[in-house]
Amino acid sequence: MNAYWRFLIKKALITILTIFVTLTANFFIFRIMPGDPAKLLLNDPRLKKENIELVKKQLGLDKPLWQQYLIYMKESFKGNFGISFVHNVPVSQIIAQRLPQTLLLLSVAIAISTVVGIAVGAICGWKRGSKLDATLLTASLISYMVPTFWIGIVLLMVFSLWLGWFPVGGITTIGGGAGIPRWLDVLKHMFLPTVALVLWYAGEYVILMRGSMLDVMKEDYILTAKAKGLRSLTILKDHAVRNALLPVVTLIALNIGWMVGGCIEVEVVFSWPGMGKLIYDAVLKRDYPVLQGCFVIITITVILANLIADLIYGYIDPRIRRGTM
Amino acid sequence: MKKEVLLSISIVLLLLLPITATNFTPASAEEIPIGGTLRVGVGHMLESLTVGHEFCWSDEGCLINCLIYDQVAFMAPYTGEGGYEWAPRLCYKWERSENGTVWTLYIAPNATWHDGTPVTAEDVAFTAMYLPRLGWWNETDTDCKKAEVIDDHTVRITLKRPWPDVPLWWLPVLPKHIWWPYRTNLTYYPNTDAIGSGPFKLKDFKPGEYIVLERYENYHGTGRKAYVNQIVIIAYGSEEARIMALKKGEIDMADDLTVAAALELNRTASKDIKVIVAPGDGVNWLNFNLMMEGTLGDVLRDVNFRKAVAYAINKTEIVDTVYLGYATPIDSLVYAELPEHNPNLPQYECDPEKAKSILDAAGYIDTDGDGIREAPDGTPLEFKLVVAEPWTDLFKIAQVIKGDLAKVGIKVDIVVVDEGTWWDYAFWPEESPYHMTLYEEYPSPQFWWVYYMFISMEAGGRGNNIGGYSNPEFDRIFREYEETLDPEKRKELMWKLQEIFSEDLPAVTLVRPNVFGAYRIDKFEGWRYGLNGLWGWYDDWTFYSVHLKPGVAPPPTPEKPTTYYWWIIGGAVAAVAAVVVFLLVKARFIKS
Amino acid sequence: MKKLKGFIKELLSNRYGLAGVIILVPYVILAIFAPFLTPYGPYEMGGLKEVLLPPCKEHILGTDDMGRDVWSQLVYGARVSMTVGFLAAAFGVLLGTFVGLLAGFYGGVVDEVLMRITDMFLVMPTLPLMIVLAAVLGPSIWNIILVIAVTGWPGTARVIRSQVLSVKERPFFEAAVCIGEGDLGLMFFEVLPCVLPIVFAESVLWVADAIYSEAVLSFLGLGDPTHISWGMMLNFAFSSGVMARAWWWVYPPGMSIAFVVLGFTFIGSAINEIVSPKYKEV
Repeated sequence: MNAYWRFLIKKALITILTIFVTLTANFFIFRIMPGDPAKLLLNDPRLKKENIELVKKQLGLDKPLWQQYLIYMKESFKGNFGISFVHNVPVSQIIAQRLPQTLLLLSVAIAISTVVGIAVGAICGWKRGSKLDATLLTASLISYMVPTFWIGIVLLMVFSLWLGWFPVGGITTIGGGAGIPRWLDVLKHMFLPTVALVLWYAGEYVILMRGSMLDVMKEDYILTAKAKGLRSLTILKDHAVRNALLPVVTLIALNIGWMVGGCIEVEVVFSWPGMGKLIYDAVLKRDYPVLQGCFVIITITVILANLIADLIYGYIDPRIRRGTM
Repeated sequence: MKKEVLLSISIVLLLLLPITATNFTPASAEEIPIGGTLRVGVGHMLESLTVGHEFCWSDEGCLINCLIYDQVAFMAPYTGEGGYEWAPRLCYKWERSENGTVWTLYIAPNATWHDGTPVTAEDVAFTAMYLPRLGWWNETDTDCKKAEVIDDHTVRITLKRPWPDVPLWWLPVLPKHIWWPYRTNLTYYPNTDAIGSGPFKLKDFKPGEYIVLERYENYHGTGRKAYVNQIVIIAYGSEEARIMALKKGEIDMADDLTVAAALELNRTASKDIKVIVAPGDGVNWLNFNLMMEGTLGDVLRDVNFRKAVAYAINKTEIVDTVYLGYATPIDSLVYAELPEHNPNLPQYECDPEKAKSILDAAGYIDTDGDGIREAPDGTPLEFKLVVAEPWTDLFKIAQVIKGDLAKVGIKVDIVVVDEGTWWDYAFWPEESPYHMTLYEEYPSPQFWWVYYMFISMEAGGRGNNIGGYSNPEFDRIFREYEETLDPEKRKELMWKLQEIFSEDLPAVTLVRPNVFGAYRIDKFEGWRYGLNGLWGWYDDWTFYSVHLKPGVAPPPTPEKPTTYYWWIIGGAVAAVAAVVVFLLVKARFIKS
Repeated sequence: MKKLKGFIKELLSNRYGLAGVIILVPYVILAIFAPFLTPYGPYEMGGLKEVLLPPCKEHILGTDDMGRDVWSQLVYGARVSMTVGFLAAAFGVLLGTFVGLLAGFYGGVVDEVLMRITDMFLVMPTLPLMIVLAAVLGPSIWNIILVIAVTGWPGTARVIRSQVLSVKERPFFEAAVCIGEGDLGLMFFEVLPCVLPIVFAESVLWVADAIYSEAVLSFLGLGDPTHISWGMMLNFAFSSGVMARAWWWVYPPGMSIAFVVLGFTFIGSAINEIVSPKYKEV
């Protein structure tokens, strides 16, 4: 059997195991939370306390723990994460509504950041030590280090509150038609959060790409190419960048996987109704089913993204393909 | 002759003129224009319209269920003078039996559901028997033993316990023909159509974001009448966004503002925005854990110690620093303007010297000179004051109290826990490691239930009593109050109850914070506010008095996004591209 | 001692190291000397008159919506933010190093199991996990430290493990094995010293990350209100509804977080540069 196939199967098996273990961990983390949600939901002296048991039954919290666990595992595979304690609708319904909104914001941000990050990172690496490199690197470091939520706040302050160019949050204005005008409206709302996200992601990619370029350029084959007399641009394009891309691609794959969890900081600041904000709100109200559902989706997506990244990496890296690794 | 006839006719006509003039002056009620879209900004929006916890208890849930559904009756607008009355809603009349357990409700004959079916006694009976089966709708005045349909528009409710006021008044009446299949668990019905019998019907709903309600033409109009065509309730994730929307005119009203935001609005806003300060319906107090063990527990149980604490606390300081002057010190959990408030209660004005002398006399002296008093057995008076994390105002009050008590030789450490943990300890004070806590409750004009928190555990206070106070006389009087129907006797009993409370001091009442709201006056008029601002869970009357200003054209449809934004977005993309190209050129990759 | 002096000299001669130190020194001074630098306590609430004052003579950075002095909050907040950063990084590095050491040293089943657990943590997006744990454990400063340490150690564990694996290939190590040194001795006296420089570099980078994480958690309202930090300041500002007006309340804490994180990152990278070439020669 091909070495690559062996590699693939091994990875797949480990993935399945990891998924199973993570699901179990997911369940228990939420059960150890202090603060009985039934009590939290009924915390008003006007309400009769006998009703706590009633509510517990309605929420399914009265069964023994192991029974709850089995139900949880069974239902998770069906995609049924239960009913939200607070909102009384199926969790999958809430997630189905929020997920596309998060994906919209984050995919655009990551796409832009990838292009900008790789380009700038390659340039920095190639021109290492120059003033250009130093400036761009520092700029990227700063945009990466500055707290994203703070950048968000500043953007809000300047562009929404002072200048009034952009709305102060949310995803649409009410009754903003359908079709093209609606898309324009969404773009308008999306602009500032995307800027905040791009600053962060691009900064990260630049730093990583640059570092990777530096490593690659030390390699022998670059020297060989130079000796062969190839033009700089060709060396850059065909040899350096391609090889330097590998770690960055892995990171991008991871980020795509994490995309499903949204970016909580940005979503909270801009009131973007996505997964990040959902998780944040659910934590505050101890809405276990929502939290469990979100975490299951995030972990499975990330694990799968990891698997795919590993497979791509394995395919590209001929050492693995040939089984010498 | 002709001249005189002419003159008399003129005089007669002149005399008739005023009469005809009055006939032509329309009654003011008829002239109120009907129309317009009222936009309300709130902090959260429901995720669903199921009759779950959110629908029942959240601010926006209460508002929405009042607008879409009818209640049998409702608390009339609070006048601030004599308590409260009951206004008809779905029921125009009600009768109570002698013993107060049997109520006969008469339903408006022309009431219809939004889908056209008439409202009947069957619907009220159904609601009364099935909705309270969900824990969060269940209270003493919704606990029904049986509901009999007398005829199409009369229903007789028998409560399990006697009750002086209209029962079921805060339940939305549900249409039986829609909900009957879900009666075993009403939360299973998604309620996406939200068919009610109220003055507004559901037009559009985006969970978590906004809801649009439109006026129901065939509303029976018994207790309330709506003058706006549409109400849009929009959720804003942050206070900033909401206030900005109000300033820009995107919304017409925003209630429950932070103090700083309200002051800011007042300072900077245009002539179009008015800010109101309502008396507020919250009361907060410092609760003592009277079930604590050990020496410090004994100190807490010593009424002299509690009295000293009451004299030490500077309520004016709390009003000034925490609420920036917008609060009133209170001496009882009953609002001062209600007739059931006892005006002769001991006042416990801030007097640190008096506090110190009480402590000295009680035997708590600072023996080792470290500024902290000790109990007779040597234990220093160091207490833990616990506050739940989300209650930021209470945290600030805790800091003031810490300073005040330090001045009289009592040390207080503030501990912050998450809400869940706080409630766990609140239900079991004997297991709580904390000596004191701060709490705020919202009694509303129908306040009696707040004293449930002081009924002894043996008498049924478990789950409400957070300090373990136990006084059989208090229990007895409260139970008697609950069963009494005569208002004069009730007043007497409530006065006695407050007297005992003030003498025993299981808690030191602190302040009643004001509530701020703001609204725009450029399109709408007829604004009013009640106890807790522009609207609250027992006061939605603003929505029935607000109307378009006569002569004001209906507001234009929401503006479509202009090409303005294409320019900005296009510009940004071009800028990024330009930078990348510039860098590439600079790095000499592209021959320029 | 001489080694330390030599190290500091090298750090300062490195471009990034120097920049990092320059950035951090003022903040460290702020943190240590906090009570002397301001007449007000961070919690002193002024009355109505003191609310939202722009920077003026009595209040260099103005006041917030409760009349509290912003400069005091910044200065006391420096203590909290940096202490939490240090402690969280310390615990996390300790844990990560321990796990990495065990995994790399023993290999085999131990390695597989530990690495699977590590992978599981690496797979989770850290922020949601931190939020859940912080909410679970409650709003105390120690819980925040614990949460940051617990969600971050896997990264360190991996790095340490690969270093340990490389050290195991070295001749001196094989020599020590031949001599018959016990497992513990090998781990702590042979491997650990070689790995320490990397551990050190990791810790510094960790501190940067921890300070950032604490800021985010506090901003989201999961921090400890009895210990005001820069993230908490931003949380108050954001939820007050008057942020637009109070730029003096928003810029200082945000920029401080950025500078401190930057400073530690610079120093961390400098240490990495110093450590790696030297290490390669060994």
